[in-house]
Amino acid sequence: MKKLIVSLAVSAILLLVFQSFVFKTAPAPDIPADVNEILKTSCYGCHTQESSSKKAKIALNFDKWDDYKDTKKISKLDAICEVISKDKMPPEKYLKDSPEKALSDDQKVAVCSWTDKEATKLMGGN
Amino acid sequence: MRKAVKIAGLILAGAFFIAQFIQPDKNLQEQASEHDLVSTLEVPDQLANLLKNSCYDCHSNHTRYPWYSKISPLSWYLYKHIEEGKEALNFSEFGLLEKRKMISGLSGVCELIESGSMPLVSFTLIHRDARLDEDEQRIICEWSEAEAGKLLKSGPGS
Ligand code: HEC
Ligand code: HEC
Repeated sequence: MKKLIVSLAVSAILLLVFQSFVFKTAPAPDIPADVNEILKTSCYGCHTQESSSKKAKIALNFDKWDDYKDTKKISKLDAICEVISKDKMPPEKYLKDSPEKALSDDQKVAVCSWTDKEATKLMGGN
Repeated sequence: MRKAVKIAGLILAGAFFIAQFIQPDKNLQEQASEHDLVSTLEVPDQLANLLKNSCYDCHSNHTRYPWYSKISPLSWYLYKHIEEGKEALNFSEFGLLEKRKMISGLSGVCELIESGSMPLVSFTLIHRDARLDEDEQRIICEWSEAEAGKLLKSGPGS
């Protein structure tokens, strides 16, 4: 009986560890599914580790999110809302070839309310 | 042919001469602002001097204008940078920002200095003394990260 409990506990732990490896692809900040979908379509192409644009990766890399200091996270969250609100991102040149990656007004609101919520949380508010 | 070159030269010289009378507004608020970065945060003198020397020409309400910066069209080029620079971050009005914006600004200071984006290269090409060496970059970065961290720790209030 004891053996069974121990082995169950051990496999549960292994499963948890395993999961955290397998599901690593979802980037680190607490991103709701709809926002994640928008970012995946319009932003991850340039702003994740696999991106070929070094400049974009230096400016913002979602795969490195966990390594960012909280102050940098706040700064980047606010920058994300700012650049999409001012139509600076995705870059105009890129949208010429893929106009479907432009964000609609609703999508901008969804992303900005997420960035605002996260930044407020990091600031210690609710 | 030689005549055409001469005339073209004269027109250019004339245009250059006239352009000197069309000058942008100057960014020259005299009194120090009570909302300036140095009155808002703890800024050691050495640091204040570094920032004033390398950043304040575009990021404050007071620009130092060396003689060549008064020559049109260079003066317009600088004017545009001052307008955009102040809009992005104005150290003279730093104290008026919400805390969250202060943190973003400070985080950006270190990031852009480290990546070599600031001060703008087009500026340091002629303003040689505004360049920051590695020690100076490190000093500014350590300070701005520490100040941002302090602001964050002090809680969500404005
Ligand atoms: C085609 C590639 C590309 C796409 C797609 C793209 N970006 Fe960018 N992004 C860049 C590049 C390149 C930079 C760096 C710009 C620079 O250094 O001037 C950048 C910079 C940024 C910055 C940094 C600004 C700052 O001041 O810190 C943010 C934030 C950003 N992008 C957000 C986004 C968001 C959000 C999306 C999706 C809606 C997106 N980007 C889509 C290429 C891209
Ligand atoms: C020649 C003028 C000039 C000088 C000198 C200069 N900057 Fe800038 N700075 C600008 C301009 C213009 C922008 C806006 C760039 C843009 O919007 O793409 C800017 C943007 C910034 C930003 C970005 C703010 C944001 O919203 O993302 C930071 C941070 C910054 N500068 C810091 C500095 C620091 C620190 C120094 C000194 C070491 C400095 N700058 C020197 C012109 C200058």
